[in-house]
Amino acid sequence: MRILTDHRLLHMLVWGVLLVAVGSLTSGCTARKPQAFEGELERSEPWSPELVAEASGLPVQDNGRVKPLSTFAAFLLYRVHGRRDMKFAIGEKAYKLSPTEWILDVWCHPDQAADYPLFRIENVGALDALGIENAGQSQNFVYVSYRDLLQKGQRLGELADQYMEIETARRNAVQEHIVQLWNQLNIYHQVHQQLAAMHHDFVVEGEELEQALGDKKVRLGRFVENAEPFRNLVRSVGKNTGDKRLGNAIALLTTLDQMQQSAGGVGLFPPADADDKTWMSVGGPVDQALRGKITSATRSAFLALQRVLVTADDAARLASLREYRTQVSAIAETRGETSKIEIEENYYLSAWHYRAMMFFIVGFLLAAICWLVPKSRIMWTSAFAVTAIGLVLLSYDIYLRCVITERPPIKNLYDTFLFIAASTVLVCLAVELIWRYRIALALAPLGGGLLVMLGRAFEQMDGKDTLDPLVAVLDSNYWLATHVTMINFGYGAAFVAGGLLAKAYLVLRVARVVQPKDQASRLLARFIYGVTCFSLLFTVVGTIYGGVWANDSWGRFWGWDPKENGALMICLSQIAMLHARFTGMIRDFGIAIWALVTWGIVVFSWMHTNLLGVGLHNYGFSSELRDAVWTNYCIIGGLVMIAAVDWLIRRDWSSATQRSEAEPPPLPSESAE
Amino acid sequence: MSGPLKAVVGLLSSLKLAVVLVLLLGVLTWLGTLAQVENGLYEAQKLYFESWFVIAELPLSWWGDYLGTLRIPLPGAYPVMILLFVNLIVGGMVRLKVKLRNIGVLITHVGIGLLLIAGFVKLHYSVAGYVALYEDIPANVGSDKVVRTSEFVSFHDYELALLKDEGSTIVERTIPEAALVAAREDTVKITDPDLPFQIEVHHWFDNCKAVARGSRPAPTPVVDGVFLLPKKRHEKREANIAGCYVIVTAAEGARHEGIVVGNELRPFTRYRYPFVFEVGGVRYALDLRRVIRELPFEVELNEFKKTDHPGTLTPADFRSFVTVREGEVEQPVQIYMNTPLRRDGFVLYQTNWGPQLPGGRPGPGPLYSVFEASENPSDKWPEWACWIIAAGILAHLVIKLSMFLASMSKKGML
Repeated sequence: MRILTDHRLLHMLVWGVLLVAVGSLTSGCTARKPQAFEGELERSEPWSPELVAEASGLPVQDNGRVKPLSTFAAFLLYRVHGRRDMKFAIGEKAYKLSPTEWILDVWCHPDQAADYPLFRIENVGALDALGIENAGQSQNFVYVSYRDLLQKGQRLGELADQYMEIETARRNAVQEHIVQLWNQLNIYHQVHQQLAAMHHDFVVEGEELEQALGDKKVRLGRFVENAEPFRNLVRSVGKNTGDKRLGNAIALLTTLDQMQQSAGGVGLFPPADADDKTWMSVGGPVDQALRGKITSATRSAFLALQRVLVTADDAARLASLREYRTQVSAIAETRGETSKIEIEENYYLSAWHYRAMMFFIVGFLLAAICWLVPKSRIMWTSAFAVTAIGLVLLSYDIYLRCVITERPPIKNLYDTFLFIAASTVLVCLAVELIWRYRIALALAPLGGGLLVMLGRAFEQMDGKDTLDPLVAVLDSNYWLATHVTMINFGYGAAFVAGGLLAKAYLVLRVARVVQPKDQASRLLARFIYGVTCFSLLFTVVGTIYGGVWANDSWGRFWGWDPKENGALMICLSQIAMLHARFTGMIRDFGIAIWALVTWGIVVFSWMHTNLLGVGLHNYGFSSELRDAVWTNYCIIGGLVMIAAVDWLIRRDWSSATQRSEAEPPPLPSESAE
Repeated sequence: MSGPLKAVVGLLSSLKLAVVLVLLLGVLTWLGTLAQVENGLYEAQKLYFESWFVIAELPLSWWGDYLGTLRIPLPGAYPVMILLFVNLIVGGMVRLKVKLRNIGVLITHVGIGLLLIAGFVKLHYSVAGYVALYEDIPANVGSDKVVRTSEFVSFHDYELALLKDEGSTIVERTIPEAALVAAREDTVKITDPDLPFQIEVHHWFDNCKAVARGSRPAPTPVVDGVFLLPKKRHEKREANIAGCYVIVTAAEGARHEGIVVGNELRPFTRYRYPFVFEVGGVRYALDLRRVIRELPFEVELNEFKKTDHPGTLTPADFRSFVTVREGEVEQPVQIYMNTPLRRDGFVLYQTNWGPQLPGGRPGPGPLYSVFEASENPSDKWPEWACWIIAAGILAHLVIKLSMFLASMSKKGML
C-alpha cells in the first residue's frame, strides 16, 4: 500500500469529513414533529402484525401487473404523500403507519383515513389559490387531509382545467403544483371510494324482495350471496317492471349498474377466464353474480372481503382476510400471476439497496479513517471489504429486480441510479486494486452511496412503481440488455472519471494536499484518462448500438433526438479529450477539468434531456430532477472556476509550455511501501 | 511535396484540427438539442445539422428560468462532418503507422469513417415515407378506404402532378417542390414545348388551409369564392399542408385559375380531388400532393391489433398482420415494434395507427395502420461500423492496459 504525501490539511479534510458524517447522522435523528390528526379515531388499537403481514402479500393488479398490496400502497403513498409512511400526532402521541396499515385504514376505516394529513402541498401560492389557510413562508410544506381537499375540489378542478391547457414546460410553479395536486386527488379519490359501496347499507323495499335478499338493509355482499333468489324474483315478473313484488329492485339494479360502470381502482378479483387479462374491481363479481356467471371461488373471495371490511373483531377479520387471500391467490396461481408476489414482498421488506447504502456509508468512514492511519493494512482491508459487501448487496437488489420483472437491469430512470451506482463502485474498486492510494477506496462508497441516495429520492419524488411493465417500444430484452446496459455502464465510468476522480484531483490540488508534480497527482490524472478510455468503449458502442435499435424501431439510425444527442455529446467530449491529450494540448490539469465537464454532459444526457419535454426518449420525466441537475451544474461550474483561479495563481502556464507534450510524464519509480 | 501542399496536408491531417472539429460538433449538437425546444426537431435538424452555416441560439437560463438568448455564428454540422471525414482519411494516410500498438486505433478509425459515410449516404441517397392502410375486412372492401397498396407517400416533400386524360389511361408528369417554392415570393412559370399551355404558380404557402370567403376580407386572392388562409409553420413538418394558386394560360388565350392544396387523404380514401381544366378539347388536371414512390411489392393489411397492459391504456404491443404480394407469391407477415419488414432493399416499420380516442383507446369503426417505409442503401452500415469500432477500442484498451500494467510491474508499483 502506498502513502499519500503527509499533510496537515489532509488530516483536517478527513476530520472534516468525519464530523460532517456524524453531524448528518445526528441531524437525521432529530425528525420533525408529525402533523396533528384532526378527526376522530374509529380504530383505537393498532392493526395486529399477523393481519398486516397477511394483507401485505395480498395479490392485486395495478398498472398492468400483479403485485403485493404493500407495493401498491407504498407507491400510492409516495405519489400523494411524498413519503413511504403515514405519520400523524394526536396530542403528544405520535403515530406511524406502514403503507399496508394505511391502506387497511383507507379501506376498512375510510372516515378515519379521510382525516389523515395526506396531500403534501409545498407551494404557498397553491394553498392561497385554493383558499387554504396557511402560515405563509414559515414552513416548507403542509399536509392537507382528503376531506379538506375534497371540499376545495371544485375550485381545484377549475384551476387545474385552466392550467392543463398550458404546456407543461411553460407552467409556473403554482400552476404545475395545482395540476399535480388535482391528479393526486383523482388518483387517491378512486382508491378511497373503491370499496365505499361495501360499507354502504342498501335499503330494501318490498316484502318479496326483502325475503329474497334476507333483510331490510343489506350490504353489497348480500347481492352476491343471495344473487339467485334475487335474480329469480326479477325474472319472475318478466317485463312488467311496475310489478309490486319487485319493490325497489329496479332502483337497486340501476345503482349497482352505475357502480359497475364507474368502478375503477386496483384490480382485486382475477377473472376465472385466463384469456381475460384484466382483474375485476368490486363491480365485476356483483355483475357476474347477478348474471349467474360467478364462480364459487370468486363468490367466496368477495364475501370474505366484505367481512374483512365490516367486521369489528380482529380475529374474525384476520380469518376472513386469509380466506380472501387464499381464494384470490388460488385463481391467480392458475393464471400464472403469483409467482413473483412473495419475492417482491420480500424485496421491498429487505430493501437491499438501502442496506448497501449503509455499508457504503460505513465503508466511506473506514476509508476516511484509513487516511488518518495510512500504514494500517487492516483499515484498508476493512474499508475495501465493507464497500465490496455493499456492492454485492446492491447487485443482489438489481438481480432481484431483474427476476421480478423478467427484464435486464435497466427499465426506467430509477434503475439507472442503482445500475450506475453499482458500476461506479465496481470501477472504483478495480482502480483501487491496481493503484492503492486509498483515493478510489474512499470514492467507491461515496459515489455508490450518493447515487443510491439520489435513486431513493427520485423514487420518492416520482411516486411511480419502478417495476411496472414497459411501453411497447421498450419491450425488447435484447436491446435493453445491450444498448441500455452498455450506455449506462459508460455513464457510470464517466461518473468515476469526472464526478469522482476529477473532483478529487481538483480538490486535493486546490487544497494543496497534493502538488502537480507529485506521483499521486500524476497517477490520479492518469487514472482519469484510463477510466475515460474505458468509459468511451461503452458510450461509443452503446450509442451506436442505440442507433441500430432506433433503425429497427423507428426506421432511422439517427434522428437528432435529445437523448441521442446527449449520448453523442459524451462520446465527442471523450474523443476530443483523448485526442487533445495525445497532441499535448492538455495535461493532467486539463484532463481533470475536461473529465469534470464531460460528467456535466453526462448529467445533461442522463437527466436534463428528460426535462426538455421533446423527443422520443421522454420516458422518465420528473420536474423534481431539475434541482438535482442544476445543483450538479453549479458544483461543476464552481469547481472549474476555483480550479482555474488556482491554476492562474500557480502560474502553470509558464511551466506547462516547457514540458514535453506528446506523452504523459513517466511514472515515478519510488514507492512509499 | 511542395510547401503550400505540405501545409494544406499538414493542416488537414492535424490532430489539433480533429480536436477542434469534434468539439465544434459537440457544441453544435448541444445547441441543436436546445433549439428543439422552440423550433421542433425537424427545423432544428435542418438549421444545425444539415446546414453549411448557422446563427446558433443559446437560450440562457438559470434553474430552468429563461434569462435571454445569445446568438453565435457557427459553421453547420454538415461541413464540420465533411472536414472531419477528410481529416480522418488524410490523417490516417499521413500519420498512422501500422504497428501492433496502433492496430486498435486504426480499426476504430476505419469504423468511424464507415459511420460517417453511412450518414452521408443516408442523407443524400435514402428515401422515406409512409404507407397507411385500413384493415381488409368486409366493412372496408368496396369502400373508398385503402386496404392494399404498392406505393408509399413522402412525409414532407410535395410535387405538382400534371395529369392528362388520354381516354383509357391517365398520363402523369410531375414538378418537384424545389421548383415551386420560389412562388412564395414570386410567380413561377412552367412551360414545355409539349404542352399547349403555360402554368403559373403563385402564392405558395408551406402551411395553409383553403377556406370559403364568406363575408370576411380575404388576405390572399379569391378563386371561386375560396382563398388560401396562410398558417404558421408547424414544428412537425409532416403536419404542414402546402398550397398554392395556379393559372393555366392556353395558347389560344383561354385562362383557368385554380387553387391546389396538398391534403393527403390516405388511407381514408384512395381518391384525389385535383384542379381540372380543359385545353384544346383534352382534359387535364393539376394535383398538389406528397411525392409518391413505388414499392417493389404490394402490402395488404389483414388485421391491426393494439394490446394494452391489463387494466391500463399503456400499450404493450402494436402489431399489424399483413400480406405481402410479389407477383403471384403471397407471404403473410407480422410487423410490430422492433420487428420491421425488410424486403427488396425496403424496410417497413410499425409507426402509427388509428382512429384513436383520447388516452389511446381505439376509436369507432375499422382500424388502420401506418408504416414508415424507407429505402436506405446504408441501412446496415452503422451496425457494421458499431462492431468495428467496438473491436478497435477493445483491442486498444487491452493493448494499452497490458503495457501499463507491464510498466507498473517493471517499476515495482504493482
